[in-house]
Amino acid sequence: MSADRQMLFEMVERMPTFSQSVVRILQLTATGDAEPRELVRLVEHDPILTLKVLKLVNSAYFGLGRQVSSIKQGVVYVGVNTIKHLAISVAAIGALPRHNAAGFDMDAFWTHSLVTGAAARLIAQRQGVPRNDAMAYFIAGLLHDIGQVVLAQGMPEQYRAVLQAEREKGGSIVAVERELLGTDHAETGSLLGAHWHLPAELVECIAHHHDVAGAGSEAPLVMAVFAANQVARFLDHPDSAVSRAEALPESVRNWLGLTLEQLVEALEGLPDELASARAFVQLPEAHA
Amino acid sequence: MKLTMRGCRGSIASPGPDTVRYGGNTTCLQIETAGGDTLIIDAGTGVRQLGLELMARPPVRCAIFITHTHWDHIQGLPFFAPLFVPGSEIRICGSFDPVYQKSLAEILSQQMQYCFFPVSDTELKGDIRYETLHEGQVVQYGSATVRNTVMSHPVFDYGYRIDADGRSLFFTGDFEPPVNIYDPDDEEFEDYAAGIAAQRTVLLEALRGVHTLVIDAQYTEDEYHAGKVGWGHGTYHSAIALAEEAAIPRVLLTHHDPARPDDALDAIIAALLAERAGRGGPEVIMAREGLCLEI
Repeated sequence: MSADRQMLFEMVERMPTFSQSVVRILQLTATGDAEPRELVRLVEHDPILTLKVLKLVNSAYFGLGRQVSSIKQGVVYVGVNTIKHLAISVAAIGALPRHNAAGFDMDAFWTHSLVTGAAARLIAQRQGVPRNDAMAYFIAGLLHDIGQVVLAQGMPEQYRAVLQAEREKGGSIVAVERELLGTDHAETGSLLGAHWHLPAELVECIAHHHDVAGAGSEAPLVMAVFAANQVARFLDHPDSAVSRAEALPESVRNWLGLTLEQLVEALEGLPDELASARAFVQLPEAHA
Repeated sequence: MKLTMRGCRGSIASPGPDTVRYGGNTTCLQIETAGGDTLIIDAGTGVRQLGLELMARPPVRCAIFITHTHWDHIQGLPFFAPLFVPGSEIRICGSFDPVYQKSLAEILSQQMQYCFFPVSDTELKGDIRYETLHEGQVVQYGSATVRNTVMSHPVFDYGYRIDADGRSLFFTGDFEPPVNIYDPDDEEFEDYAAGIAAQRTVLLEALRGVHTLVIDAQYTEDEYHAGKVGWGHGTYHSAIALAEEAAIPRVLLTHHDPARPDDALDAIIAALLAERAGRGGPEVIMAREGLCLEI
């Protein structure tokens, strides 16, 4: 599907962000003295803004000597105004419709992404990952399903059929995507990441977040995001579009020393993260 | 290698009776190597007079390095006479603009659009070559080697290191040492601090062995902390501290605030020298237009 792949890249290039983020960015930058902390929080919590900022700063045009793997690092490296103007320009494209032709629930997707990111960070801390590297786990969790948005936006009719088949037949969404589209959201997301020169570990993590074995045994980021994804599914609201949790494969269980149920119990602070993610995804006016 | 300061003013040109001694022109540094190569860093309004002087010995061959495209660093370029003269060979180097997604050539040609300036860039007669530099790209220009480093500023900004004749000069362009945007109590504080430390390490590496540091020092500590944090400029003390940390023997303080009269600059440098008397460390000089130093 090489022609489609090009179409997807171009589509994502023009893809707007979440309507909640658009409102917040326009509010925050309406005065000249936007609080940098707020700006960072806003970008870091939006998968599309994060993706676009990382894409930009890692692009060949930008020509940086070192790869940027987090928004904070980007702010220190290239300046807060660069990040601010990028966020504004993404916001100016407009807002993603909260309900799209594919019937893909954007709010549920976003909440799931935030919870997965938070859980991946908590898992990293629990596994003794240095604090400064834990941010990479949050980002990988935040972006792991980005391919779903790409597919839902890029081929809404086909993706509607995918979601319907998944609901009716159950089973893994990846298998349904493969059957009906010839690709899946992990592949699509990783193609996008590679095309945009995102850090290799992040691209690999997106590619293998449903397939830990495929990533090889020495990939703690992949194992953490796999587990975080299942934790988030476990906690997701039952009527969300995201399917239920799978058990952890043996390699992940051994790495953590826990089953999924034990992991959910062990991650203190997770309920707060879930509440905070749900609040963040609320429209700002309603939340204010 | 010889350095001549052609403009030391930040933000906007500020001519007048109170800026005669330190000068009112905006940023421009002229570097001449022993081999006769001319390099220019930034084309603020100071580059106009430099262009006229270079025209005394045509044809003009030079390389211009742009730290960033804020007005005070490029505004003199349309008035740089050699651009208009057949036979000039001018190489203009700088970064890509990440916000507007435009090359240096596109950004610079915008300020020569007809609504801003009567001559368009397509009418320039010199042989002008634009080069967009990626970070760390090494440019060899005659006997000089030029390396860039991304500096901390709200927008993308390159500092340049020039090595020639066995000596080394570094100009920061606009530079504010990064400030942690989080409070020490915030969970993110350490993460951000680690990012700042990593940037500092890269900068110190770029400054290793430099003989003269020309650095943005626009504010006093009091001014900085009374509302200028995050504006993208350093203080006299932060500038000297960087020179000390990098063990650089000489530091030139520049990017003078447009509202700072000569007498105030005199008083500031006198106070700095008094404060530092007997402490060793770098020689501290307040940059002024026309100042010429052997590096």
